[in-house]
Amino acid sequence: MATSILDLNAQKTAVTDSEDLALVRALREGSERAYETLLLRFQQPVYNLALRLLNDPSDASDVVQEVFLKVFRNVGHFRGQSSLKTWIFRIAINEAHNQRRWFFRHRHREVGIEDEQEEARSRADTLADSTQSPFDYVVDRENLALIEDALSRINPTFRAAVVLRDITDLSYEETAEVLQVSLGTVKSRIMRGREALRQELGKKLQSQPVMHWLPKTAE
Amino acid sequence: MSCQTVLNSLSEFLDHRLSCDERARVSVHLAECRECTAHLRDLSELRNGLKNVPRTAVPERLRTQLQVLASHERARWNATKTLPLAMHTWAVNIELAIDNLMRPLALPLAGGLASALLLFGLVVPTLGFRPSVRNDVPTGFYTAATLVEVAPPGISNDEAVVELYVDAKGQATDYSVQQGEVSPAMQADLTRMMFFSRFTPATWFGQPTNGKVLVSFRRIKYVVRG
Repeated sequence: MATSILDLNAQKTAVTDSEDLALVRALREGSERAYETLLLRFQQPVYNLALRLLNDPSDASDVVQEVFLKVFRNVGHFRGQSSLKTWIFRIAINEAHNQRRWFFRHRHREVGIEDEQEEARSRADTLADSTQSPFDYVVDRENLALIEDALSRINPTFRAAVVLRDITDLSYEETAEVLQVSLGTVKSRIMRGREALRQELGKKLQSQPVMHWLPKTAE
Repeated sequence: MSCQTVLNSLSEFLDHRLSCDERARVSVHLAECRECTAHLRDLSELRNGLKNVPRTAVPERLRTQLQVLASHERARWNATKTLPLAMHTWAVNIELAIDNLMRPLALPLAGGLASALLLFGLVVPTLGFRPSVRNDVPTGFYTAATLVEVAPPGISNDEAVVELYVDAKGQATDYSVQQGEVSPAMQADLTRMMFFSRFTPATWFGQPTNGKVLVSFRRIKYVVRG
C-alpha cells in the first residue's frame, strides 16, 4: 500500500515537473497564455505566503509584485533543478525577508491609512455559508483568529517553516529547498515552530475568561 | 523511551516522517503516557487549525497590477528575442531618452538664446570700435581732449607741468599747476598760450564735452662746441 502511494506521488511529481517545464518554455517564447497561467497558478499562494509572513496586506502586495517581476525577468535562467513552485516560493521568502528588514529599518513607525482588509474581501466571502451553523462558524472563526494571532507572534524563522509546511502544504524536502537549509534544520524549525505556537495559544486561552454553561430547567 | 525524546519526535510522528521502528516505540509510549498523549492531541488540533486557515483572496487592485506587470514584461521579453528586434528596441529607447532629455530643455534653451541675442543687439551699438577711416568722428565711450596747435613759446625759463581745462568748444578755460613753480612771467606765457592754442574737445558718445590736457614746459639747453 505504502509503495503504491509513493508511486502515485512520484507520478504526480513527474507530471507537475513536465507541466512546469512546458510553462517555462512557453514563458520564454513570450506566450500571453503562459503569463496568464503563471499568474493564475501562483498569485494566490504567493500572496497568502507573503501575508502570513508579513501580517500586512500592503507589504504583501508589494512583495508579490516584486516576486513576479523577478520571476518574469529571470525565467530564462530557470534550469529546472527544482520545481517551479519551490523556485517561486524561494524568491517570495527572500523578498519577504528583505521587506521585513526594510520595514524594521524605515517604516515601523508609519501608520497606514488604507483599509486593505476590507478591499481584500471577495464576493464569495460575503455570501452566507450553509454548511455550518452560526455558532460553529463563530467558534471556528475565533479559533482561526487565535491561531493567526499566535502565528504572527512567533519567531519569523520558525513561522516561515510552519507556514510552508502546514498552510502552504509543502513537503519537508520542498520546505528545505525553499528555505535553502538542510532537512534536519527544517525538521527542527517545524517542531520548534509548532511548539512555540502551542505555547502561545496556551497563554491566550489561559488569559481569556472561562464560561461554564450548566444545563438548568426553566422555572 | 523518555517523555522528552517522545515530545521531540511528536511533530514528525504527526507528519508520518518516522521510521516504522521509531513510530512503533513512540506509539507504545503514548499508550502508557497521558501527558505525551495530551501533547500529541494539542499538536494535532493545532495542525488541523493551521490547515484550515482560510486562504485570503488576492485584492482586485493587486490582480490588475500583476496583469499590467505581466503585459509589460512580456512585451519587453518579446522585444529582445531577436537581434533586429533588440536593436530596434534599443534605438527606440535611446530616441525616447534623448527626447525626454531635450524636451524639458527646449523652451528654456530657446528663451535663453533669444534673450542673449536681444541683449547682445542692445549692447553692440554702445561698444566702441576703432574707426577704420581717418578723421572719422569717434563714437567710443570717451575720447580725451587733444592739443592741435600750440602758440609759440615765450621767454620764460621756468619748468612746470600744467593741466589745462578745455571746454566743449575747444577753448582752454583754466589751468592748474601739477608740478614746478609758476613765476609771473610764466603766468603771462600760459595765458597767452591758452588764448592762441587750438584744442580738440573731449567727446562722450560722440558729443563734445569738457576735458583736460596735460602740458609740460621744459627748458632746452643748446651746447655749442668748437
